[in-house]
Amino acid sequence: MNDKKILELFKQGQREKAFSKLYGLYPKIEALILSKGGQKQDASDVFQEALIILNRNLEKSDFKLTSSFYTYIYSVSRFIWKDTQKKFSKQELHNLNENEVEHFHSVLEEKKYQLAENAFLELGKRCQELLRLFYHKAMSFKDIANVMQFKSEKIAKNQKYKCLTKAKDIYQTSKTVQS
Amino acid sequence: MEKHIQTIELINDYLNERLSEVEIQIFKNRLKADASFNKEFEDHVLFLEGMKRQQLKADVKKGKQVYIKYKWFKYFGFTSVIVVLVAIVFMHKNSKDAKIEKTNPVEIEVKDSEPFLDLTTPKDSSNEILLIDTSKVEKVLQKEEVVEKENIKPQTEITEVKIPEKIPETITINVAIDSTIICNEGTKLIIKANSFVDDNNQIVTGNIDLKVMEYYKLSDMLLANLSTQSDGQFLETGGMLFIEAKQNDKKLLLNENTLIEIIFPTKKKNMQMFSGNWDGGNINWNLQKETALVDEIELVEIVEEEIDVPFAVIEEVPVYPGCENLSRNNTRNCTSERISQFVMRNFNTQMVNDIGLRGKQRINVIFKIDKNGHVVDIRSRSSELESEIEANRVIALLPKMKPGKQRGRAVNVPFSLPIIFQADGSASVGRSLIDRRNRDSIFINRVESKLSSNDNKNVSVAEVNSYVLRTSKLGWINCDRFINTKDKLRYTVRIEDAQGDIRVNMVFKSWNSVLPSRRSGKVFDFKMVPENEEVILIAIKKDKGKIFLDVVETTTEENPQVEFNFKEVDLEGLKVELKKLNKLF
Repeated sequence: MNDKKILELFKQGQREKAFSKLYGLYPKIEALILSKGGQKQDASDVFQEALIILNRNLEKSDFKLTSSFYTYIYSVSRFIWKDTQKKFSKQELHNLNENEVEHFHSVLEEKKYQLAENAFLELGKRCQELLRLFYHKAMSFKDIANVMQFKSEKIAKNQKYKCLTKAKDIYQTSKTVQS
Repeated sequence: MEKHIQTIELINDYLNERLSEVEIQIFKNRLKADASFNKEFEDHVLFLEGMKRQQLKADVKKGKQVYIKYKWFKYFGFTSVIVVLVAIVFMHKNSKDAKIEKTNPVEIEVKDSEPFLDLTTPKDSSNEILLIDTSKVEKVLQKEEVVEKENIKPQTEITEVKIPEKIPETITINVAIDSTIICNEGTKLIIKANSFVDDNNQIVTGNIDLKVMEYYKLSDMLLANLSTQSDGQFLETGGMLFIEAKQNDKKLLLNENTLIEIIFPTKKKNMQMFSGNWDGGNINWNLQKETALVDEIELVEIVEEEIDVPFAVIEEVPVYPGCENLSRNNTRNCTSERISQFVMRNFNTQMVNDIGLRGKQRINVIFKIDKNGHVVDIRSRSSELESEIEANRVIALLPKMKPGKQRGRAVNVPFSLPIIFQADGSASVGRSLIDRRNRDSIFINRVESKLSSNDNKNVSVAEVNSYVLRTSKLGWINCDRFINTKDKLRYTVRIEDAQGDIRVNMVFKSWNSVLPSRRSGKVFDFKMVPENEEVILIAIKKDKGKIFLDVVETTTEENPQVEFNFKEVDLEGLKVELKKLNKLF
């Protein structure tokens, strides 16, 4: 399975399949993380994060994969791990080449999204469900009101708005706490 | 609220590309012009991206499951091949025996494989089941290896002369107490009480014998046929050890979760602990994963890098005279206020009026409070040179302060101070602390990383004197680091008079690595080696009870022209010749 075919899978929207192919790289990443003192669970998390970052970048119109998937994922994984360990030496940051700087930025950018994700997960089950139906399943408020037994479309709509605002509030507070 | 809902809806429409071109244009213009709208938009996108992670995670998980299933099916195919192979070998071995017996082993093998067959049937087999399977597969794999090894052994034992192994040092210790042992060549072992267990996992008591062999010298390594490779990757060695523990000639093991601390007297950096396994005449080193480097003992700590930590984020702010003994936050505010007051009092607005300025004037001043508390590096920016000069003059008058500290270390603290005044005479200095803190907080990460890198720097500048590593295993132990090399090429040499047992090793001049070769016929293959490295090839031949040696210095290149002229040496001579190489390490 070469990179081209995997890229094709991504383009066709067959994300699952593409990820399953990319998992062939996992043992190498696991070895990397283990050699840096991580556990198997860490390796699995790092790899998942790297795939998410890869997918996110592939969806950007101006993104071009300049290296093999392996090189990309390896480099990104390294940054993710270092970031969780907070181990950046100055020399390293100085010596980064253009690609690496980009990878590094992707990792930092993803951290914001992680916060947003956590905010989402802190919502009540019903809120999560509502937002999921609206944004991921692209259901209309009418259908949502049906499925989730809201009295009217209007109530569903208002409820969705409240959930959204709440999530954003949680995000803001968590952001301030972090910084 | 209704308006807000509409905004969100508009953003959703935009993201889902439900707007007309004109509307898109309006939308984009609004993004540029309306800051709060822009913020709303970005927050919303951010949140959606965060939510999307949930989807992605689910996809990754599904992908993983598909991968594991696929891998497992591959394993299964592989396993069945191996089971058949094992069966064949078994049959072959027993073929000399009565023919009736021949069928039995096959049956046993098939029985063994039955559990696998059973597990294939449930279609959505969970991870757990899969894991159990692989472990079984591994067991079968190991079986196969054992069989192979048995086949190889007789071939390697043709050698007539045996080069004696290093005489081990034997130390008797009492396991009831903690022991510290210093070996002949400087290795220090620190062993906790009750560290050893016997075959039955029972803790051993009384006296035990430790057998230790140390390999720091190249000659010792070559004589013991040691090399420094980890699954094809190069290692640079800081010394190898062989440790064995015995009681009444029974081998002992290290208790689980017990570690021996080993201090290697090496000056190399970034060493890790490896354990070795012999495989086909060469040793392969594997990183001991569960053990970490404990300590690098340093000779001296030098170099304090100049570091700047902004005022708003520093742990201990510089203290303006009179602001001592306040809480952290109050010190910060006090110092900040006193500086502002000082500037306000001393700034000569009259001078500015004199040059005919009118209206609101702004001077941006940046300076540093250095490690000794002095004000340095004053820079000001304003529309008028005169204002800048006046600002510089006033700032330079600031009194000496107690320097700011980050992690207990005095550092330079940059301080930015806008001076704003009406050119009619009244001046106001400073701006809200929060404002500044927001802006400065982006520096904090950079500063922190700089600080931590500074720690690293100390390590790299200081000379490492020795290494404390921990091992969880006895046997072959190596204090090594990986070497990454570029520009590799395939390196093989040919030896014409190749009768007898010949070993060719490659030693690198620039780092402590010994590379073994694999022989096939007259060709000795080193696989991939770095290009243009100065190396020494050491060939030792054992033939008809005699030892021959040749040492060739060369550089690695494509199609090397290396000729060996073997000279006969006796054991002593061999040792002497090899000892000459010790200066390389």
